Amino acid sequence: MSTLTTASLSLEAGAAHLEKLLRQSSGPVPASLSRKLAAAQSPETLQALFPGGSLYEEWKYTPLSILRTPWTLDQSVYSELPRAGIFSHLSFKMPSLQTIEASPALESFPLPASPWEKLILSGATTYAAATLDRPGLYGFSVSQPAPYRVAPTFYTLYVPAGVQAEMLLHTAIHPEGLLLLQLHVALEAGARLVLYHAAPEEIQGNLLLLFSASVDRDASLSFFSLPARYRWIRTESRIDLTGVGAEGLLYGAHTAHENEICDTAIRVSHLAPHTHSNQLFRSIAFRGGRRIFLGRIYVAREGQKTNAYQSHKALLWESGAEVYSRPQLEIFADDVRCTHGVTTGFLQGDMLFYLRARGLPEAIARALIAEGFLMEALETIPSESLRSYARTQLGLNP
Amino acid sequence: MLEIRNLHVSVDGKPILKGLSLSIQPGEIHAIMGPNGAGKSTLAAVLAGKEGYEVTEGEVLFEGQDLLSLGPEERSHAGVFLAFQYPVEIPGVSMVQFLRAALNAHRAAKGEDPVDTAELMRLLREKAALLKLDPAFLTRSVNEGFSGGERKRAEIFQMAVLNPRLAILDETDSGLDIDALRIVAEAVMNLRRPDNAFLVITHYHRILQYLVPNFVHILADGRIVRTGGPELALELEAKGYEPFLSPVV
Repeated sequence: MSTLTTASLSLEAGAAHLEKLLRQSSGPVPASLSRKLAAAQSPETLQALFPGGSLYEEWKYTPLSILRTPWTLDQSVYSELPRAGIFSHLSFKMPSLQTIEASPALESFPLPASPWEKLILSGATTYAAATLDRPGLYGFSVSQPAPYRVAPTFYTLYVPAGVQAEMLLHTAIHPEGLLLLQLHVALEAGARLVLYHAAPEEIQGNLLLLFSASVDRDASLSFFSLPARYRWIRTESRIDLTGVGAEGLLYGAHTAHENEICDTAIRVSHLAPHTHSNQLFRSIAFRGGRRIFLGRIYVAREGQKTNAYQSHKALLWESGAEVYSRPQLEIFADDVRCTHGVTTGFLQGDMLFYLRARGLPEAIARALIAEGFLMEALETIPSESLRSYARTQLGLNP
Repeated sequence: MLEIRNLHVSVDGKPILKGLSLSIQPGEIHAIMGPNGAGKSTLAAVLAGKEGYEVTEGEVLFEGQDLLSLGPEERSHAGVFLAFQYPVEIPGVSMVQFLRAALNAHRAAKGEDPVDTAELMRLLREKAALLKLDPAFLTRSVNEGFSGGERKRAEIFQMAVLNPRLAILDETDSGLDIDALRIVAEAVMNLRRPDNAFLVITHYHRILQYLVPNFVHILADGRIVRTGGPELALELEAKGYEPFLSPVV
């Protein structure tokens, strides 16, 4: 594991600064990772990311001003899951962390594609890997508990053939902190992983979560982005369905309140025949909140008989709310079934009046409308206790 | 029970109701008929407390209480129910969930405990049977994917569950076929008691064959221009509104 401490990490300082950070590394970088790091150091690409100079359309709706903070590099804290609230009802196994070289998942890790991945890889304070070698429910918690500090962190998970596992990824971030978390998951043939991402009830700081997965033959990955409140969150998911019959499912119910930015960017790649994917998201933006959804389905020439779905419905709760949705299909095979639907609408005053005319106080009426709107995404959560947790996070439980 | 005195209402500065007065006593059924644009639905909306309607003059007392000073939910708690002309869809909210919330809000207003689930389901099934609604309808989202007739029946179903003192039926008969109309009308008659009352807003005589009103009022240009018994509806059917539109009687 490599550790970098107390250096200043500012994106505006540029890639040269990142290289300096790497030189300051107090520990050796694992050999197999160094190849990735070599690919990570690309000054001209990083330069392109800086505010005002971004060539990446995927970021055009997400303010980057948060990154102008003069962050101090710090370590993230890997810890046990909190044993409070909903977590007390769940029994976790904690995965055994190993050095990154020991994980077969690293072999399937794609070369960094975005400046963000390069940034995290090259500046990461923690490199760790785990193999989920037995079926069961696993927990994994990453904290960034200090203000004005950034923790770049890189983890990989490996699910061997035939293993059926669930994992709760829990991130806890200081309201003035930034966590840069890259998580890569590799599923072998026939493996099944249900991954939940959760956070504490309190308003969280800033999170850039780069999630990538390679899903082999007849394997299945489900990723539930459970509701939480962040000042700034960008979840980028890149799912590669590499084997025949592979499946990738992504679900989320989100809100963006005042001064909150919630950004989801997805790319599901169908790289083999008979693969299946679904992206189902429901969102509500309140006054002063911004919700961004960019969903892409990519079907390679080899992806015949693909079945792919995508749906994002967003509700503008009141004036001053913002929603940016963009569905994208890129299809190079000729025998596929791909559907997508993106809608954004306003909360109708008639709906509110209808409920109030039946006796519901306005606050309850609003909560009922919100719950109903998000229901389709909430119902996808297979665990009853996590469904209840999600409702609590959204303020829907009485 | 309900006293409307010299009610004037404007929408976006345009006068719609121009001095409407009406008195409804417990046990009575009143029908309001009138041409398009006469102000019938405005009256229903104002009584239920919808925003966007400016009362410029007059008063409305419900059981001696100033109805216009209450919010929509308070009017509902007081016993006023509006069966909507165009019921709204509430996606993702089942009828059970919706009516549980509504009943509990009514109970909370009276200082009572929330409804017990078994009691709730018994009540809902009983009232669904009254409207000849398939029990599966209880699990469907409120009004979502309902036909026009189903929506109207669902309105009366909700009325049966909430058991109001005064029910305002805003063109509940429109969009209903003959059989559905009979079912709805019979359900309403079944709910009739000496201590409740109905205000039926309609264009047509046919619902009044089942819901025999004590009084029929003709509303034209924002005022009640004629009041009579059930025979007035028949007269309207035969002559149309034209003869009633000139002088106030």
